[in-house]
Amino acid sequence: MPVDLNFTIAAPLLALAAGALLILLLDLLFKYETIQGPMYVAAIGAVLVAGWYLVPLWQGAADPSGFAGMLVMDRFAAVYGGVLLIAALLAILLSIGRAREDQSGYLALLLWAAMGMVLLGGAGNLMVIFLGIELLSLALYVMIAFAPRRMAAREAAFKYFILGSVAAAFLIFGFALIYGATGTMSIAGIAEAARSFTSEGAWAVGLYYKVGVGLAIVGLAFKMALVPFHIWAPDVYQGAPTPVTAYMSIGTKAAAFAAMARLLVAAVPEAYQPSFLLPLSILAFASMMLGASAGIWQSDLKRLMAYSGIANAGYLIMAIPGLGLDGLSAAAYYLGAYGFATMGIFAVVRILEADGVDGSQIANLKGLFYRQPWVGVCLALLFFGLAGIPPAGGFVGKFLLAIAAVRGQAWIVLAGLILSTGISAYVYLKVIGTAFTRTKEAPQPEEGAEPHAPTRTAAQVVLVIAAVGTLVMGVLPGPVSELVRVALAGM
Amino acid sequence: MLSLIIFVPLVFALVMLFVPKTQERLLYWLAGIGTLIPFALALVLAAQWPTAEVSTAPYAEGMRFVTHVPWIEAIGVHYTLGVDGFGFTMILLSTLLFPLAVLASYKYINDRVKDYLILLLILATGTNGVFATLDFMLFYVFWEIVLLPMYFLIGIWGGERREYAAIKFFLYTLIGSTIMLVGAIYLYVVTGVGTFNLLQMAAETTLLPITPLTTFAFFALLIGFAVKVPMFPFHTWLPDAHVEAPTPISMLLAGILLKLGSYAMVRISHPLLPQVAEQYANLIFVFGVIGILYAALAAMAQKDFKKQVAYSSVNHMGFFIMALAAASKLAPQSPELAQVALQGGYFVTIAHGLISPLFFFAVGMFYERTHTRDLTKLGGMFLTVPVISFATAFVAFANLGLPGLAGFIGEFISLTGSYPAFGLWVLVAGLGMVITAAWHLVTMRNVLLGEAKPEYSGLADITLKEKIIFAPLAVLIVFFGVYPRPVMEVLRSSVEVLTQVMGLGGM
Repeated sequence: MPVDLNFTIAAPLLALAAGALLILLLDLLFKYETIQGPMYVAAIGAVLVAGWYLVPLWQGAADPSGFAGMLVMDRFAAVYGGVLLIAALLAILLSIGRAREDQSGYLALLLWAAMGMVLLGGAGNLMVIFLGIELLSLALYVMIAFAPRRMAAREAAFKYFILGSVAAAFLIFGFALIYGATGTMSIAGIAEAARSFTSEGAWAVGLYYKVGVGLAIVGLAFKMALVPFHIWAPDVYQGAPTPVTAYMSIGTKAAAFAAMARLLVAAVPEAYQPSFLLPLSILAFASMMLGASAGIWQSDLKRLMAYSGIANAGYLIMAIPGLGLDGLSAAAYYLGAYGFATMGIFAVVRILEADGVDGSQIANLKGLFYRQPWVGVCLALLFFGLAGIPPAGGFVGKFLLAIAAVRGQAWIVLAGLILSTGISAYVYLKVIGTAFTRTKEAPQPEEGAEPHAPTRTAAQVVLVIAAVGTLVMGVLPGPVSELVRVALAGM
Repeated sequence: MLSLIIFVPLVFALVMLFVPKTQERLLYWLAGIGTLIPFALALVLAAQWPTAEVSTAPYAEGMRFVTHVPWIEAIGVHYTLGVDGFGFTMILLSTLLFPLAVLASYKYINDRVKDYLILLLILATGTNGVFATLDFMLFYVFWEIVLLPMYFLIGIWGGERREYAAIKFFLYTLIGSTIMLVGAIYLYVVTGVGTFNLLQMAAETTLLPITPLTTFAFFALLIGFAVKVPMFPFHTWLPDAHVEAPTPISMLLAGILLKLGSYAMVRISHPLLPQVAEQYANLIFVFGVIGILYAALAAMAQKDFKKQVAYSSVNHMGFFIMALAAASKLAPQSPELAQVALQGGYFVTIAHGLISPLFFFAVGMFYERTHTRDLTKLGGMFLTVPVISFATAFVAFANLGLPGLAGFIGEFISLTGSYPAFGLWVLVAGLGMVITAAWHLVTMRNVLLGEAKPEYSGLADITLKEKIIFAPLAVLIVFFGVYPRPVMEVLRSSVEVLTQVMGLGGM
């Protein structure tokens, strides 16, 4: 087989990997105290360079396929890559001012996780999907535990690791069955084989195949935290350091969704679609309902966001029926809006943490609006974005997703949308209400914690970016949705 | 021009963000000007109305003052503005009420004035936007923008149970509007018009056969709007919201926000799917009449003055629902009769938009002085505060439908207009009118007549501010009660178009 190297399409991935290595090298060569700033600059630089290399792919200038079809960095991959890199960038900013510990390892892992995520969007082969999943998961397992003094973080990492391994097993087993039925690992080859099945001829092969695809979906659904594969999410979100929670809430979701979309578009021919749609719709419905209603009883903002993430994973499934262009571009748009909103909310948590307060306690938000009016207003805006209320971006995303779902006649999912929107709005309103409750007492800092100005500034920058991004996506959705749509037209 | 009416308040709100919050007088001036400019602009448009060019473009046929700019081209959403009689009367009403609400807030809201006024201005942008837009998505955006400031205005400046009331209000409307969104998207997808323009969608949707899904779409839209109107049985948020809201917000809630629902029905649900509306006219009529009767009885049973007035809103809006049902039933056979019903029904909403804010304001005047709304505690007010009491009596008579005042005209025409459709069943609504009149008289006896209560002696009578708020609304109530023709003229062509559409749909 001739060697098929295509560095144009691999460039974004290589930039991230090189950035990670550079950071490790800096740590090795210089004194730890002097090099912290440059390490963050290097991390941000790596993400920006990766984004720079994504632009030509977005424009569709280069041949998207390379490495013998293993990597397909087409416009779809570029759009999801863009969303993921923005998330990575904001997560790096949020991480500024972490406690004195291994910064270089943390940043390198963050970049490697980003690499795995972008890789998932551009996977052209089942092996590459698995590689991407493992790359991002292994990096995240360690990052979750990156809070030296907190046992909860270690517990969360361990939980995630155990359950994640089970999910990986599902994924691998599913891939094996698909391979057995089609004789190929390449996604393009699977698409071809799947369309050659007829309902009478290859019944047995078809069954293996269906089970295989189902198992693979289970593996990916675990990463997306769809009910009933969501058990890990609340504990892990709560236990992980805030920037990591923020990063994984958007990153893993977007990446796993991109891989699922790729797999389903190829693996499910039109004739099979209803039989795959029904179980997925039920999962989505259950996710929306559980994610929305479990939020009611949460007193911890991070747990609440975990349940909100579960509900939002359900909303993303609205894009699947019909597997059409508008569904996928709607999902990309929604992920962008969701990403800004969650990042912003975690930035608020971080702002509180900068004062030494445990920001994930909802009770500590009490009176936030009266102490820091702008932060309170931004928090309200971002939660309204999650609830899908204009003028925030989440609204346009939900609108586009609903159009796709109506086109695909996915009534179960739409019923879930209506019911869960109301419930989750109630949950979010309670948080907003807390922030707007009048109180004279400021929340007490935790023992031994000291205010940290750089953390606060960085978190405020993230909050502003998130709020502006949410507003732009809500008020001027035209250009953004057009870009996404044009980009996906090549699929 | 319409864009200015919509966005001038928002611009003022942005400017006010940068005014220090201690400058309360300046903030009130800015808010006053920011709401008066739209009113002045609306009056200018009113002067131009007879001669204004009526658009013939497919996206705005029959509309005036049209703007049409692409917004989200990928799914065919445009920034389309334009008004007909239905929309324009509402814009006039809305732009009139907002300056009055700002004035009513002066010296009444003393806490976080800056935030309050900014939210009020955002609210003005939302409501004016709803009445002016011809694109569903834009409509939806403004519709939801109304929710946000309202949630905070009730939730922060409200009474004791403000958070409960605010959340209830918010969730009711949000769930209703999500259902409506799904309904509208279904119509968008099934017709394949590729645009959310209401007129262009209507051209296709009126031809759809009546299937379970189109029926669903109609009721999805209707429920979204019915929550706002509010139509029985979706009204339960209203008494809570009203009781907890501060007086100026109650005025706006009753005067404008309820009209968003009634306007949306004549603009969206009924023109889009008249065939379904005709089929279920009887059902809608039943809900309308139950609303009238139930709200009248419920109002009678209240001990809280404000809650009583709140229930009377449900009662009056029931007349609109009834007349609308009658119009959609009559349109296929006899457009002329349908026009009478529709005109009467819509006039009810306009009259209610003038009367109910004033009534809430009157309740507010008592509350400010006596700090109670308990009907058993008030009494003998004619002897303590004669002018306020006279004003209250005036507005109470207007509200119960005394001939010669605006409330009577609308309800009378609605009743006579609905008679051909539903026969003697309209007498049930008539019964509602009688009960309403009865409780008004009882309440007036309790509050106004009787011995002067010693604890209320020495209360100040009406102030200049209150007179300024009272005068324009009172004058209009009398004027339209005697001479409703200007309103009817503005409404006529829109009513004709709508009945025509409904007539075609039913065939």
